[in-house]
Amino acid sequence: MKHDIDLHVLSGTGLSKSFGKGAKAVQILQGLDISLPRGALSLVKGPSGCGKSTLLAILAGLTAPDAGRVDALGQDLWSLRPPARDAFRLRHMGFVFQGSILFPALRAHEQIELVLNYMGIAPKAARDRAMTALEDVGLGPRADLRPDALSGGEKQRVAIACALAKAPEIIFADEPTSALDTENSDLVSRHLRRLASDHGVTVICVTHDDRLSPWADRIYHMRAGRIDRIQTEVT
Amino acid sequence: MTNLALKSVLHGCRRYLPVGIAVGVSGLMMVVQAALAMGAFSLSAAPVRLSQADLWIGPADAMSLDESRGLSQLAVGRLWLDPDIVRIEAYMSPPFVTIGEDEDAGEIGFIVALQLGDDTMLLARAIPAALRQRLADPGTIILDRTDARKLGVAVGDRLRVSGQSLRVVALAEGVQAMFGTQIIASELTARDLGQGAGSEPAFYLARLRPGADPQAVAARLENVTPLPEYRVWLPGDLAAQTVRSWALGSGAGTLFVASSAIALVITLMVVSQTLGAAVASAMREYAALRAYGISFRAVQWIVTKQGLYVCVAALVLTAVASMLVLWVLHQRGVASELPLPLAGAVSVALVLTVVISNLVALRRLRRADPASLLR
Repeated sequence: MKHDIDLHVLSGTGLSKSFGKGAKAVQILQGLDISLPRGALSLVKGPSGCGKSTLLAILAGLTAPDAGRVDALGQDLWSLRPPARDAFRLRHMGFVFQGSILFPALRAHEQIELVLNYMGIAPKAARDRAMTALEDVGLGPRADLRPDALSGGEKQRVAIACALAKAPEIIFADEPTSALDTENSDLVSRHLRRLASDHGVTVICVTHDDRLSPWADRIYHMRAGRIDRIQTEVT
Repeated sequence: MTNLALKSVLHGCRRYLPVGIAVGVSGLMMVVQAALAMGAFSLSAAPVRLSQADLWIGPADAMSLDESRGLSQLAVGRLWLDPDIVRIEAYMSPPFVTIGEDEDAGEIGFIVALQLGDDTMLLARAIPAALRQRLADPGTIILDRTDARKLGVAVGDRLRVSGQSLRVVALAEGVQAMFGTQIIASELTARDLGQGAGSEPAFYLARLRPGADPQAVAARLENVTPLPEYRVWLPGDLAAQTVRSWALGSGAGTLFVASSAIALVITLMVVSQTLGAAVASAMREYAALRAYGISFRAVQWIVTKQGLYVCVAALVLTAVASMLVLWVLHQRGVASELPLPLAGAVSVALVLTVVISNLVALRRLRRADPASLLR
C-alpha cells in the first residue's frame, strides 16, 4: 500500500525549550520547525545533547515547549488540557522506547491487552488484536511468555506489537535498535518500515544507529537545537 | 481487563513479604494482647456470667462487682416485698485465704461460698446441683480445672488452705479468678475459713417468677422515694461494667492503646517503605503507561489496588495466625476472649495503617515522568 507522504500529520513550528534558570539556563531547542509526512519513517539524528529527545518529547505531548506550536492530526497539541492530551496520545500515538519497558508480571499478550483495555477495547477483542500483532512481529508462539523468558530483541518486538495493536497514526521511537544485535536490529527496523509503508503510520525515530538509516524515508539532522539539514534521498 | 495490580502482587510476592510480616506481627500482638487482657478481665465478671440470677442488686455507688462496700439486708428489704421476686441469695465478697503448708508464703486464694439447695443461683451454670451436692461434707472444695493443674492437685487430693486441710471433691470449668485461685465451698466450709464473719453481702442475686420482665422489675425497684441505697443491675450490664471497670481502671486499656500505637507506627514505616520500593522498582513501566496516554489517576489506582491486595492477604494471614494462637491458649486453659468489636477495631487500625502507607508510597508515583523515558 502506498500512502500520500505529502500529507503532513505532525508538525512543530518555532519550538523552543530551555532547561535550568537564569545564567545556568541551557537552550536546547531554538525556534525549531519540523514537519513529518504521513506514512513515512523519519529519523532524527545528531550529536548528543543537540535536543533530539527533547524534540521527540515535545512532539509527543510529554514535555511542554517554552514557545512554539505542535500540530498533530490537525490538533494544536499543547492547547489541550492534560487529560485531553493523555486521551489524544492513547488514541492516536504509539511508543517504542530504548530498551524494553515491560511489566515483569505480565505475559507478552497481556502487556498489549493492558493498553488496549485502557483504550476501551473489550477483553476478547483486545486478546485477538494482541495475538494478531504478536504474530505479525513473529512472536505468536511466544505470546504466553513473560519478559524474563524473552530476549532483548523479542522484548523490543513486543513493544512494536503493542504500538501496532493500538493502530495509532503516529509512532515515536527512541533508539529502538541501539541495544540490539544486527539480526534483531534488522528485524525491528523492518517492522518499523512496514508500520509506515503498509499501515500508513507516521514513524519518527530518534537514533544514533546508522543501521536504521537505509530503512528511512528521510533523515532530519539536528545541530545546536535546530534542524541543520533534511536528507530525503537515503541509500 | 488485565488485572495488572493482582498479577504484580502475585508475581512479586516475595517483595511484599515485609508488609505481611509487619502487619501480621503487629496484628498478632494487638489481638493476643487484647484477647489475654479481655480474657483476664472477663474472669472478674465470671460470678455474674456463670450465675442464673435475673437481677443483681448492689450498693448505689458500686460501679462493678468488686467495688461493693456491702449492703445490709435492711437496705434491700423492698426486694422481699416485690411480688415478681421468688428467690434472693446473698453474694459475699470472696475473702483472701492462703494456700499451701506455709501460711506466710502460700499462694493467694479466694473462697466463694455456695448454698447447697437445688435452686442456688450463684455459679449455677458452672456448678450444677449434682456437683454442688459433693460439697455437702464439711471441708470439701471444688477447684477450677486449670487452677488444679497449676497447684498439682486432683480430685481426692487434699489442699492446705489457711491452715486447714480441705479435700478436692470435683473440678469445674471456667471458674478461675483473675488473680489467685478461686476455691468453691459450701457456706459451712466457708464460715470455718472465716468468710462472712461480721460482713454484709456485697450483692444480692434475685430470681423472678417465670414471665416477669427483669427491666420492668428493676425500674420498679429503683424508682422509689426516698432514693434507695441500692442499684439494680441486669446481669449482662453488671458483667460488662465490671469488665470495663477493670479494663479502664487498671491502666491495661492505656497500655494496650500505647503499645498498639507504637506497633502501628512501626508497621506504617515498614509498609510505606516496602510499597514505596515496589512503586520505585516499576517506575519506568508506570512512566511508559503515562506515555501511552493512560491517565495518572488510572496508574494511581493500579498502585492503590496493589496495596489493597497486599493488605487483604496480610489481614487473612494475621487472622489465621491469631486464631491459631488463641486456639492454643484456649487449649492450655489460658483465659482469653476477643469481642467482635475489638477484633473489628484491630482490623480497622491495620487497614488504615496500610492505606496511609499506600498513600505515602503513592507520592513517589509523581516521579513517573514519561518524558524521562526519552532522555
